[in-house]
Amino acid sequence: MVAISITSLRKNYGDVAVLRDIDLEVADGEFVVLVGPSGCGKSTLLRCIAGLAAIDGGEIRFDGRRVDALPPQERNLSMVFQNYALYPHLTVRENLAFSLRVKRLPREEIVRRVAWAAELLAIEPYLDRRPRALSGGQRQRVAMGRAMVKHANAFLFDEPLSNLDAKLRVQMRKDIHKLQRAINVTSVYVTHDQVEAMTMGDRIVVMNGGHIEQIGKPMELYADPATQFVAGFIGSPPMNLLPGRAEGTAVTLADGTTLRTAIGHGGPVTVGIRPEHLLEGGGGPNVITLPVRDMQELGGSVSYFADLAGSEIEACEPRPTAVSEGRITIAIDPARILLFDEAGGRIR
Amino acid sequence: MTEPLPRSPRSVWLARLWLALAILFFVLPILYLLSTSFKAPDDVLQGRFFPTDPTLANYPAAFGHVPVASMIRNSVLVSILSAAITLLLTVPATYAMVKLGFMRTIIPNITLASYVAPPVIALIPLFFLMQRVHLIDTIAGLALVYGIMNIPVAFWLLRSFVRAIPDEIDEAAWIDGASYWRTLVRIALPLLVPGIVATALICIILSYNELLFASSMTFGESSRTITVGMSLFQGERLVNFGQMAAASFAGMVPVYVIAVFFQRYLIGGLTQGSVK
Repeated sequence: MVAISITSLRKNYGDVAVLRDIDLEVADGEFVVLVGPSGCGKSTLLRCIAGLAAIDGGEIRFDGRRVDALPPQERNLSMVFQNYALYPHLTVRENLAFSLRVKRLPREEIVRRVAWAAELLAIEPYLDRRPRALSGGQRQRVAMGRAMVKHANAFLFDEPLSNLDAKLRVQMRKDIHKLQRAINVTSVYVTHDQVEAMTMGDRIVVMNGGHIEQIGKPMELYADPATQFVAGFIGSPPMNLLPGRAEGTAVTLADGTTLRTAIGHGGPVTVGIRPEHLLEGGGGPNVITLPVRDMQELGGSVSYFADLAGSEIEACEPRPTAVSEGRITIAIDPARILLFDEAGGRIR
Repeated sequence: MTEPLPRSPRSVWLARLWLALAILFFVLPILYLLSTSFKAPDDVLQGRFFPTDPTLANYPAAFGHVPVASMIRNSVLVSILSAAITLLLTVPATYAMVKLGFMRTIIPNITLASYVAPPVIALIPLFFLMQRVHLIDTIAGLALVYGIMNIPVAFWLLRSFVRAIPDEIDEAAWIDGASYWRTLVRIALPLLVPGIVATALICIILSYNELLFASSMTFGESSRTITVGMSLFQGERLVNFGQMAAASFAGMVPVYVIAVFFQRYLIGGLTQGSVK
């Protein structure tokens, strides 16, 4: 297991810069999730770490040793691909043993490691089957096993759960997390699913347009987003974002509604309020009654949709108590209101 | 594979009729050849489809006139050897180009350009080259020429087969520590078997049917191929059609055996890449 250190990494495809100024430190044994929308460069960054894509500038180091010029064969990594990429003509046992055979490990050692992974992943009954005779979840486990037997420097995951159905995905999410803890291997995990990122990562790297927006622990990103992009991307349901104009500690929205904030500022701003914070500021200065347009009951919580200053906002609470006669009274604690400037940066 | 759509019995019968006519169109020359091989010289000149007085005499006469059996043997040897040479060069080259991006834009252009050029252009230079290395009038020499000549065809056929292997499978092998050669041999080759078989068959058929280079580079019984043999029946003043038909029919057999037994691979090779 190694610590991964990336400094000033750049990657271009032709004239297009797909990654710029990437600085990232992954501690030994840490589970870091790269998350962002499609095309943000997260998979490319993972491929650069793996050695499957050459970089155009910067450095990648494993435990201080520079590796960015090494081919993938010499980086001693394990990778789990989105489509599993199992060798279709080999049995599960041979798939697991492939990297060990390449390394010319003794036969007994290969048998021992394959048995260890098979037991841990509960794939022993399928060892003599070929991948095509396995279900999606079983293939996923074999891909995990192939990564585990190698005792690699680090694990790289490229959206490994996106081909599974919702229920299996939740189960595998827990399993992968548990396994990573058990063998304590440095892991870099790419996903576009922020729920996956929040539940699995020790730290999350939010990427957008080829650069890193923010790096932090899941709850840090949720509670203290550095940019409007992170605020809108992290959290489910997403944060309500409304345009307005700030004067001191008052923000006037498009329709003239004024909200009191805890931060003073002047000029155009974007107001950010999480749906779960819209109903908890009772007795404070920001109490507004709005007609409810729509509501969704999700079992564990209820979401209400209403219009505020020309934008649709979502408010949610655990129990359906807030509505009376089709109207909802929202009450926002000024300390819960986040402000972002025109460039999307956080105003503190 | 898509499910067949429902069709009316009338359209099914029309389709069958159309297919029968198409098959007849392609089979008729071969049937005529077969029929001619049983005709006496005078009978051939009558131009009737069926022999009036069928005779088997053409077969022993043909095999006596030119060494048909050894020529067929030479043809088979040359075609198999040349296909082996083609594949040995083309499989690694195609893999390197498709998966490692080696000369990705140049190779397809070069192969296409060399394939569209008339083969006769290469005849004289190749003749002298072969003479210089003492491979003229040998099976090995002809196989080498065919082996290189068929590279463009093999490349275009194999390219779509190599592309059909998901990149992640090769990448997984590299990450597992396998060298590019080992990945080719252990991972890609087993997955390429249907493509390699199809390409080999097509190269064998092309080599087997080739006449131009064979007629200029082989002179003796030990190296002449059956296509050259058939052309030998054409005398200065007289063409012995009956014997020629008999020799042609015997010479066709190996190719037809391939076509019948390996149909599945051949069709796979020719249609690969046409649909996703």
